[in-house]
Parts: sequence; C-alpha cells; structure tokens
Amino acid sequence: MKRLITLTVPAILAGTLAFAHGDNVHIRGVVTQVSAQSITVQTAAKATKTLTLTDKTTFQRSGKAARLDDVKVGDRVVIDVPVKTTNALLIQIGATAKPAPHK
Amino acid sequence: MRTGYLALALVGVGTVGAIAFVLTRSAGFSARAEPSMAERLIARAARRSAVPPSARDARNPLPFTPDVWSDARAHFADHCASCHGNDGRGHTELGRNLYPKAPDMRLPDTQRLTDGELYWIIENGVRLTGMPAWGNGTPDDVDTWKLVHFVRHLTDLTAEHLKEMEALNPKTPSEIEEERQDREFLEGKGADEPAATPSHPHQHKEQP
Repeated sequence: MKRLITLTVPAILAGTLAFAHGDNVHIRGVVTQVSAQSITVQTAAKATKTLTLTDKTTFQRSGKAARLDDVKVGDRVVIDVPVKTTNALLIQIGATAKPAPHK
Repeated sequence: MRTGYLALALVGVGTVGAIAFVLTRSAGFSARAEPSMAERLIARAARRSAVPPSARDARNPLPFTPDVWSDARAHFADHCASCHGNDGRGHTELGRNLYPKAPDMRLPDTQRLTDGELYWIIENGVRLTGMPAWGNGTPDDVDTWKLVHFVRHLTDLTAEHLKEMEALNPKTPSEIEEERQDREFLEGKGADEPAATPSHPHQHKEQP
C-alpha cells in the first residue's frame, strides 16, 4: 500500500507542478566577465546577461562544491536566478567553451 | 418556554446560514484564502480527537543517531518536501496553495504535538486536508518513526543538508529533461554555441 502511495502521489504532484510558475530561472551561457561582485555571460541568443554575486551565491563543478576562483572567462556555466531578481543563486561550472575559429 | 428557546435557536441557525450563503454566493470558495479562526480551532480540535489516546502517548522507539538523521532527511526529501519544503516551512508551490496550507512545522503548533501524535498523523493522514495517510496504520513503522525524529530536528538542518535534500526531491519530466540539457551543455556536448533558456522553474525549491 505504501509503495502504491509512494508511486501515485509523486505522479499526481508531477502533473500539478508542470503547470506551476515561480522560483528560479536557469541561464546557460559562456562567461565573458567575472568579478567578486558580478558575473557576465553570453547566451545562445547572443544576449549578454550580468548577474549579481551575493553571500548566498554558491558554486559547483561536477556536483561538488567550488569557489568563485574556479570560474574563468570562457567557461560554460548554468546559473540559477530567483525570479524577479538578478542575483546568482547557484553557478554550475562546466567545460571551457571552444574558441571561435580564426577567419 | 422550551418552544421559545427552540424557535430562537432556529432563527439563529437560519440567520447564520443565510449570511454564509450570501457570502459564499458573492465570494465563492477559494483555496487561496486563509482558514478563519473558527476553522482553525475546529480543525485543531478534530486533529487532536482523531488520535486515539493510546497512540498519543507512544514514545519514539528509535534512538536518534547520525544514520537515522540521514535516512530521515532522504525520506523526507523524497516523500514530503513537495508540500512541506525540505526545511519543513511549507513554503512550496503546493504547500502554500493547499487549504489549509502546509504548516511551518518548526513552530509550536507542530512541535507541541507528542511523538505519538506526529507518528499517527504521518501514518494515518489528516482528513479534509492535503495530508495523506502514508502508512498502513501499524504502530511500528521504522521509517515513520525516523520522520518523527526529522520533525523534531528541523531547526538542526544545515545549508549542506538542504542542498543534499534538493538532489533527492521528486522531479517532473520537464525538470529531468532540463537537467539533461544542462549536463550536456556543461560537458560541452552538442552545439558549441551556448544555449540560454529561461527554464521551467524548480517548483520544489523553497521560497526565500
């Protein structure tokens, strides 16, 4: 019975949640600038977004805790930003993007 | 004399009923509303009387150990946090919009409940609320007793604990897909160009 509830309730919740709004926005991009106060990334749409770093900002690389020093220009990052703010809540650091080919 | 009291009582009930009818017709019922004081009092009394006295006095048979604490956090994150939030405050999309709303379990209203009452509520649920019966009603479900410990230690949760729990929260198919895309992007797979997407929100996360 417990197993049935365990399977059913999350399924119902999942259906409900898919239509919900709120909380965090994800931004994927390549770092173009980084300082102790902010990080700027370029997104796929060539848009530039600058986000504020706060004392609540945390960093991860491969799921493990990282630091601001680990973020370099050219790194791919995924940033969680609470809705209606420009504060970076979580910055996941990934591979360094390939440089653009010389023309 | 008795007929007079009866008539007066009927008029009173009729008046209250008429007022309730008019209010309902004009405003309707919404789960967004806060339960009235009367509803809260009735609900608390009903919840208390729903627990048999023998169950109320039950003590948690499990000692609180690091393993129990760890298991309880994982269980809570997977089964309970969608409504209650990982920190038990109830600040989630679902918890805030239930009627009655998911309580802040760190507060005295919950903490004043005995271990036995907490166990009973987890096992048997609470009627006319969003709280389901998670157990089969037996008095010795180890996982449920671990959750009782969890409720008692909500204020001991650290930022690290909450982060671990986030990874264990149930995810929607769109969140799973988004995580896959994030992972591929971070690993440099797929297109070289970065892909920025305003994503589906992480609804299970707590509000600040």
